[in-house]
Amino acid sequence: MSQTELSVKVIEDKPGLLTVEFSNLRREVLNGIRRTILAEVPTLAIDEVLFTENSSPIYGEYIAHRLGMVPIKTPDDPEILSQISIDIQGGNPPNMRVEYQLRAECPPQLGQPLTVSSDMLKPLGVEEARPVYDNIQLFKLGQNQVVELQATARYGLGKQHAKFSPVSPVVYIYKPVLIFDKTKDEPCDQHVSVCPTNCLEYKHGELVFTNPWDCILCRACEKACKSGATKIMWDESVARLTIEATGSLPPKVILKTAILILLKKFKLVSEKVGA
Amino acid sequence: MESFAFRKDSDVSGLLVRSLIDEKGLVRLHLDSYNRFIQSEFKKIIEEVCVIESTKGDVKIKAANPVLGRPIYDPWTGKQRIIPEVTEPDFVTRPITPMEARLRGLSYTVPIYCDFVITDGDDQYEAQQVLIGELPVMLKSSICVTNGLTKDQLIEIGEDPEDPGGYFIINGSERIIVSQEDLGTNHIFVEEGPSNSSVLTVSKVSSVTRTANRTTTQAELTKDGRIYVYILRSKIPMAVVFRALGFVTDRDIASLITRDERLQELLTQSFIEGETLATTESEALRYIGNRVLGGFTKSTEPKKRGEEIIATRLLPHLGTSNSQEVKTKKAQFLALMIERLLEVNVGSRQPTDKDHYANKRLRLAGDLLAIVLRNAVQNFVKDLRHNLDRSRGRKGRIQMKALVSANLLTDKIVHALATGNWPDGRTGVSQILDRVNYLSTLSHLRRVVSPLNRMHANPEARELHMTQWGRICPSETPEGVNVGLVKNLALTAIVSVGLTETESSRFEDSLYRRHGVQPLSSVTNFTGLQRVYFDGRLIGYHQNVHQLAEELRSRRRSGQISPEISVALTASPDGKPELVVTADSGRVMRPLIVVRNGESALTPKHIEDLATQRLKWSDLVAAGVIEYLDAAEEENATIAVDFETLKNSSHPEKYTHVEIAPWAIMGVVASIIPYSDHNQSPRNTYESAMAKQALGLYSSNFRIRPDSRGHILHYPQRPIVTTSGARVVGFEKRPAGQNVILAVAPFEGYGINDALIINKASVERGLGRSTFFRLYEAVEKKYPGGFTDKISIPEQTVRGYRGSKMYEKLDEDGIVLPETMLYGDEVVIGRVSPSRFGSQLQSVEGGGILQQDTSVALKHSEQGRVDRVIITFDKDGNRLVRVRVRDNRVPELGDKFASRHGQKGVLAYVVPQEDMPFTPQGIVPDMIINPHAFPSRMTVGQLIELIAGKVGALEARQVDGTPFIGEEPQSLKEALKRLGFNPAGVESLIDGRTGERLQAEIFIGVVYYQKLHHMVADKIHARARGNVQITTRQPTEGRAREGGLRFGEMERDVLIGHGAAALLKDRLLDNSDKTTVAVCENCGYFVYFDSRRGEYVCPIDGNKAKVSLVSVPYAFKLLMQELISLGISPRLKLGEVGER
Ligand code: SF4
Repeated sequence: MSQTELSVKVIEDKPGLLTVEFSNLRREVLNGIRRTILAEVPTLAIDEVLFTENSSPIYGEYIAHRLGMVPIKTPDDPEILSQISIDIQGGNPPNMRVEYQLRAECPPQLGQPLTVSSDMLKPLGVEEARPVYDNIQLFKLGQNQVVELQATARYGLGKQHAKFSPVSPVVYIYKPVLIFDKTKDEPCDQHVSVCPTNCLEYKHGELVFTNPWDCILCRACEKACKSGATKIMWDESVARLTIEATGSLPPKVILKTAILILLKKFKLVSEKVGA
Repeated sequence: MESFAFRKDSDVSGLLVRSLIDEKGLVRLHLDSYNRFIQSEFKKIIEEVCVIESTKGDVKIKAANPVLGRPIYDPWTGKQRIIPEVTEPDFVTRPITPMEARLRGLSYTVPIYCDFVITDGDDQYEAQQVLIGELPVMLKSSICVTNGLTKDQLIEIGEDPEDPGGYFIINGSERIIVSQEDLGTNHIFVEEGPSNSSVLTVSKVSSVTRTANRTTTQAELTKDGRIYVYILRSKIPMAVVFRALGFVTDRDIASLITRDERLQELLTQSFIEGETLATTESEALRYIGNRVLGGFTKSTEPKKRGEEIIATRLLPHLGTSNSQEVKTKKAQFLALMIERLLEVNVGSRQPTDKDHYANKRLRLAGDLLAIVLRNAVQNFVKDLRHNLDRSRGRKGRIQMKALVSANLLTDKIVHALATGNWPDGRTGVSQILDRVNYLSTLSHLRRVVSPLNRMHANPEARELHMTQWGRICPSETPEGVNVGLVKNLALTAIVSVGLTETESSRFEDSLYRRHGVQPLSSVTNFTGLQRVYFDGRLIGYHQNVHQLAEELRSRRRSGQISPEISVALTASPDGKPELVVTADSGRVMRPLIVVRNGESALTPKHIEDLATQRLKWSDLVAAGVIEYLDAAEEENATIAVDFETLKNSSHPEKYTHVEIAPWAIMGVVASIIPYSDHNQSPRNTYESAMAKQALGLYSSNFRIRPDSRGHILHYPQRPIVTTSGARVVGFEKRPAGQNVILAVAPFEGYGINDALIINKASVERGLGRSTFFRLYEAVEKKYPGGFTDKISIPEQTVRGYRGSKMYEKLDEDGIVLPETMLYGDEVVIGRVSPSRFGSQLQSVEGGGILQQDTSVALKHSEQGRVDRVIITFDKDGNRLVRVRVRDNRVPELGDKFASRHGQKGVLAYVVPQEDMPFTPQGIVPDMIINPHAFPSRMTVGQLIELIAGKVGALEARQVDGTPFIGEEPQSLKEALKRLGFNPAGVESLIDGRTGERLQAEIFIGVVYYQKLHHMVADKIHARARGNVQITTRQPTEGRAREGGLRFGEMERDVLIGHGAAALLKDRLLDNSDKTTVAVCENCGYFVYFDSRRGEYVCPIDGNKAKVSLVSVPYAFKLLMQELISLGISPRLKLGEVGER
C-alpha cells in the first residue's frame, strides 16, 4: 500500500456504534463528514404539539420540548435522506410528517404518580416511525391529572435544532505517535507510570506504545520526562472516526448519508459552475 | 484513651449538624421567640397596658385573661384546637389555611379575646369577653395550622413540606420580621465621653422589661469631677438620686458604690454638690419631681411625682414598685454603674467592647411584636377611654362590645407588619420574604440587621469580630453601604430564648440557697469574697467562684438547669475572679462538644445511635455531650478545631471543647460553596450575594402560589460537587443550578471580559431553561353611592378605550382564558369603573354614568401564556381576579450565569455544536470560559471543583467538597488518573471548525452553574419616538415607561469635543423638547396668543410690542416661568445668530 492511498477499515461495528479507521483521508474531508453528520443528516423528530388537555404540573412548552428530544425511528434509505437534507437546505422541506397521539390519565386508585413514558406516544398511520426506546420518561402525573395531545414529527437537520441530530457524540482522533530519543534518555520510568491509560512500556530499552490508540494525547508522559526524550505527536493521515447514534438511524446509514449529502452538494456546485 | 475511629470527620460533622437542623429547623429562632411571645408576653402586655379609667373618675375597666383564639374544630387533624381564623364580610368565621390567605390576599391571623372587668364606683360587673383584635400568626408556630400535620397533609393544604416557616402572611404577602442586632439590655456599658465635650466617661444601661417597656439610664463623669445621672434626659446629681432611693448619708452612698478608697476620693465633688441640693430623701424626691420633665405623671405634687419617676423611669427592669426592696436594688445597680464609671476613668478597667458578641442581643420576632402590640394596645386604650367617656351620658349597663373597636388593634399591628415601620421609629423591620430560591428564603430568615446608621462609617462595627466565629457567617454580607451591618447567622448558631421571670427568680434563689451565694445586703466582711453577677446585676458574693462555676456547669450539663444559662468567669480590676451568669434572651450561642479530662464526651456509640436515629440532638444536649456557649462563656473555653487536634495534642486536658463542624462557621448560603477554603475571601462574599439570585425551585407549591413574580428553572440539579452544608440546609431538595461541562479556553475572543460561550445544542437540549411568572390582578371594587367596578369587556364608548384589538383575547366574562398567548399591552382582565366625576356629570348631562376603562394589561415589554386564572373574593367581599402569565425563557445572548465561586459572566456566543471543540471521547463542552477569569480572582476552589466534578461524573457519585474537610484535591487527581484521564484535568481537544488538534491541552471538567435572574428579556429596550413627560416635555425615562435612552453630560462632552454642533442641537433640542415661544423684544417677556383677535399680545408693551418667535427647549421655557413665579425677572434679549 502506498503512502498516499486511501484505506478504510471498520474497527468496531455494533448496533448504534461504529468505528472506522481512515488512512490518508484529508483532515478537511474527515471533519467535513463529522460536521455533516452532526448538522445535516436529517431525522424525524417531534416538532409541533397540540394539547387538548393538560392538567399535569408540567407546562405544555416543557412537555413539547421533552417530546422533541425523543429519538424516532427514521426510514433509513441514505439516498432519500440525503435528498431530504439537500431539499431542506434548499428551502423545500418535505411534506412528510408523522402524527402521534398521547393520552394519559392517572387513575386515583393507583395511589402513586403515574410515569408516562415514550411507549405511550402512539404513531398514527406510519407504524414504523415510533420512538426508538420505550422507556424514556416523559413526565409524571398525579392523581386524576390528564394529558392529551397530538404531536407531529417532521424531518429536520441538526443545525436547525439539536433534536434532529442523529448522533450523540461523533468524534475522531488522530493516531498518536511517540517519538523517543534513545540518546537523551536516562533510566527513569516516570513517564511510564504517569500515563493515565497505561499505554507505554519499555521494549529493548526503547519506549513504545502498547497500543497507540489507547493514548489520549494528554502529554502527561511528555511533561514527566525530565530529559526531554519523550515526545507525543499525532499523525493526521491516520484517524479513527466513531459514530454513536441516538437510534433513529443506524450509524452506517448516517455515515453513508453524510457522504451522499457532501457528494450531492459538490455535484450541485459543479452544476452551478457549469462544468 | 479511646480512639476516634469515625468513618470520616466529615460524616460526623455532617451527621451532627443534620441532627441539629432536622430537629430544630433553620428558623428555630423565630419560632421560639414567637411561641414565647404568644405564651406569656402577649398576655402580660395586654394586662399591663389595658387599664382604663374614665376621666370622669368613677368607672374603671381592666382587661384580664386575654386569650388567643378559641379552640375550634380543625378539619385537617380532626381535633379541637386553636388555629388561625378568617372572618368573612358576612361575619361567618372559619379556619383558614396559609394558602387561602395568600390566594385571597388575606392576613393569616388569630383573634384575640379578652375579659373586661368593670367597676363602677363600688359595683363590679361580671367579666365580659370581647373580641379586641387579631394577631398575625407565624407560619409553623404552635398556633399555625401546619403544626402537627404530616407531609401529605401539608401537601393537601397547599404547603411545601420543606417550607421553613417563620414568616407571617399579611394581606396575602409573606412578610418576615428581620432580627435586629441590639446592644445588650440591662447590662452596663461604659465608654469614653465624646472628645469635644466636658464628659469624661459615660456608663449606660438600656433597661428593658420583657413587656417591651424601655428606658435608658445613664451616669456620666464630667471634667469638673461631678457625677450625674440622667433620668428621662434630665440631669440629676448622683447624690440626689441615691438619697431619693433611701441612701441618705454620704458615707452610705460611698460605701455602696465602692470600697476602694482611691475611687471614693473621686466622689467628693459630687457629694459637695449634692449637699447643697437635697439632704433628705423627701427633699431629693421633690428635687427630682421638679426637675424631670414629661407630662406622663398624673400627680402634680413634686414629691409624689418624684416617687413615680423613680419607680417607673429609673431602671424599670429591676421593678416598678415603690417598695424599699426595689429601691435598694436600684441603688445597688446604680452604685455598680458608678463604680464601673470610676474604674474606667482611672484606667483600671477597659471601656466595654461594644462589638464583642457577648454584648450583643438579637431582638427577634417575638420581642419586636411585643413593641408593636404594646403600642397598639396603648392606642386601643386611648380609643376605649374616649368611647367610655362619651357613653357615660347614657344610662344602663356598660356594654363592652359597643365600646371596643376591634379593627383598631388589628390595623395597627397589620400596618406595622405591612410597612415595616415600627412604633419605636425603626424602619424596614418587616420585609417581604425573598422567594427567588430556597437558599435566599432561608438566608433572609436568618438575617441579622444592625441598627447602626448606614451612612456613618462605623468601621469597627462592620469588621468581623473574633467572637462572631461560629455565630455570624464571615462571608455573607452585602457590599457597599451595608457591608458588615447586615449579617447572617452561621449554620449552627442558636439564639437564646431566655428564662421567664419566674424561672429567672427561682434560679436566682437557688444561687443563694443551694450554691452559697451571699446576698449583697447580708455581707459585712468582704475579705476573700468574689463577686457574682446575674443578668447584669451584682447579686452577691461567693467564697470561690471557680468552684461555683464548675457546679453550675455540671448542673447545666446534667440538665438540672437550663442549657441556655451561661456561666462565664472574668476578672475584676484588682485581679479577683468574678462570675457572670447570664440567662436573658437574644444571646447568640453555638453548640460545642464537651471535652472531659482531655477526652471528647461524644463517643462512637453516640454517633452510631445518631446515625440510626436512636438518639436525637436534644438527647445529646440533655446528656451533657453537647453544650451551648455564648460569646461570654466561650472566652473561658479552649476549643479544639477537630478530633484530630484533640487526639494528637500533647496536652489534651487543656481543651474544654471540640468544634462540632469546622464548616459550620459559614451561613446558609456560603456553606454551599465547595472548596470555599481555597478561594480568595471576597469571592465567597460575591457568591453569597449571587447565590441568592440563582433560579431554581424556590418552593414546590409554586404552581398554586400567587407570587407577584417568580422564576422556575426547568431542570434543577443537585450539584455533583456538594458540601455537607448544602445537604444539611436542604439545597439538594430545592436546588438552583445545573452541572455543566466547562472548558477553560479562549474561543475566538468571545470570552473577553468574563463572557460565556455556550453550546447551542446544550441550550436546545434544555440547559438553563426557565419559566418566568407574573401575576396580574384586578378587584371589582364597590364605591359609595352604589357604584361598582365591572369586570367585563369594555364597550367602545367607555373613556380610555384601547381599540378592539387589545381586548381580543378576553373571554365573555372579561377575563382571558388559560393557555392563551398574550403579547405586550394586550388586556388580561377587562374592567370598567365609574368615572371619578361620574356621579356629578350624571345629573348635569342627564345621560348614563360616565365610565372609564381600568382594564389590566400585560406589561408593554412582556409576553407570555396565561397559566392560571384565579377568581375569588377579597376580605371585603369584592370579587378578585388574579391571572398568572408564564413565559418560557431559553438562554439567549446576554443572559447571566455564575459558578459557585463568584465567577459571573454573560452569554456572548451561542456556538453550533459542530463548531465546538471535542475531547477524544467525544465530549463537547456546554460552556467555555476564558482562562483570564482565574489569575487575578484566585478562585482556586473552582479549579478544584472542576476536577472534582469530573471525578464525580466519571464515578457516578457526588463528591464531598465541604470546606476544610472535603475530599483532598490530591486524591481527586489520583482518581482522575485511575479513570484514564490526565490528573491535571486537562485533555487534548480537536477544534470542531478546522478539525485540527488544539495545540494546548484544555482544562475541562464539570462545574455547577447557576442561572441568575438578570435576563436580557427583562432588560432589552430601545425606542425611536414615544411618550414625553408632562412637566418638561422631554422624553420619559426608564424601560417601564417606554423611555428614551439618556444622552447625558458625558455624551454631550464628546460632541462638543468633536465640534459636532449640528448633531448636538439635533440631540438636545430638535429631538427632545423643542418648542416655539413668542417673545416681546421690547420687554423680553413671553407674550400670549389671543385666538379671538388672532394675534400675539404683550401684556406689558401692548401695541408697541415687537413679537418674535423663538425655538427653545421647553424645559427652558418652564424655568423662565418658574423664575417669574419666584418674583425674579428674567428677560430675553433677542438677536440674530452671530450678533452680540
Ligand atoms: S500522552 Fe498521555 S495517554 Fe498518551 S502516552 Fe503520554 S501520558 Fe499516556
